[in-house]
Amino acid sequence: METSRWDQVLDYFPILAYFGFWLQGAVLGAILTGEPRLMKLGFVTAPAILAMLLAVVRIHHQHRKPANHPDSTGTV
Amino acid sequence: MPDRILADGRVAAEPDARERRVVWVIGIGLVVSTLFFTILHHGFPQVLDVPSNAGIPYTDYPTVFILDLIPFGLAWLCFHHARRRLGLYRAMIFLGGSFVFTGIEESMWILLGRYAQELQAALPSAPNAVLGQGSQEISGTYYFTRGFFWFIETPLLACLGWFFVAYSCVYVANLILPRARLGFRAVAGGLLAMNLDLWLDPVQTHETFKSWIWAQSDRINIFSIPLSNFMGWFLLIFLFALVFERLPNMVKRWGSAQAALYFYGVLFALEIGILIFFGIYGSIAMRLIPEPINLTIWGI
Repeated sequence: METSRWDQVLDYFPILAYFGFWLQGAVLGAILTGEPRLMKLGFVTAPAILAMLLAVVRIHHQHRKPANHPDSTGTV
Repeated sequence: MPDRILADGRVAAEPDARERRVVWVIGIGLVVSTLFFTILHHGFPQVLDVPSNAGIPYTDYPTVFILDLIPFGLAWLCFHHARRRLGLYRAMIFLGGSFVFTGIEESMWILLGRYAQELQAALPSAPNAVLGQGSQEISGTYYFTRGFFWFIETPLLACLGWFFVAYSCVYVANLILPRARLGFRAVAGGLLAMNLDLWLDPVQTHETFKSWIWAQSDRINIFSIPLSNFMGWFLLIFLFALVFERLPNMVKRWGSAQAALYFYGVLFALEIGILIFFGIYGSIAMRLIPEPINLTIWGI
């Protein structure tokens, strides 16, 4: 028995929240100011975005691990 | 139960009766205090001398209410994840802790600045760096302009924002540094949050939004934002991550109710510690750096 689809999707939720905030507070905000300098400043958040993308890859790998079954963790 | 937030498919056990009681107490406490301060902020602004929002865009009630729904949605994503992976008890402790920890910290700074003159008169030895001298136009440190729901003088969107940013950054730090010690993961979580703020603050304080207004600049500023603000983002999430991961040990030792009290007691002590730290930092910076410095790119 594998981890349910919903439980797999759930693991991306915190990253979605971070991206949502980044999009709404920073990206959309910078666009609305109409200031090209503020848009370019967005590159300073590249490390955080890379970390989030790396986390997405890690989650994907964890979900594919055969050991990652509720039966084997014994917690379900 | 695992000591850290994971993405391994584990589903946390349902809370027992004692944990449920703690969850209810925190939940009711958050709702009641938020309602109280929301009524105080909008209905009786003279009590805490809330500054006028005249000339500040997007501050009408329907707009601020709609804007508050966005952080509610983003916070729900993290709370749901926390509830499933860590259990309702620890999810609520994380929500309540980050909400109150940051709400009190932000409000403390706002009110210390707002009542700087009164405090200066009462405490002549208190350093200006702590109380804030303000600019010629506005006195104080800073204040938020926009929000429908409020916790003391911090809008709910900022308190919830701290919750989901802290949760997602601690989670990502655990994922990308799975074998690192707690200290390193906490540092990584704090840096991830601070990194987002490097862009968020210059955008949100732009004339178009004025989501919050800085009345006082630091001796060192980055993109025209006080360095102490970025240090604050890092410190709050770093310290919170350190304390939160010790919660399972506290529960084993004292039980769920006492562990929650101890956890919040430690957070409150840290609030005081951060205040003292920034007081010392401000005093040293004012002595060593006579004129404010702004580290900038493209003049921002």
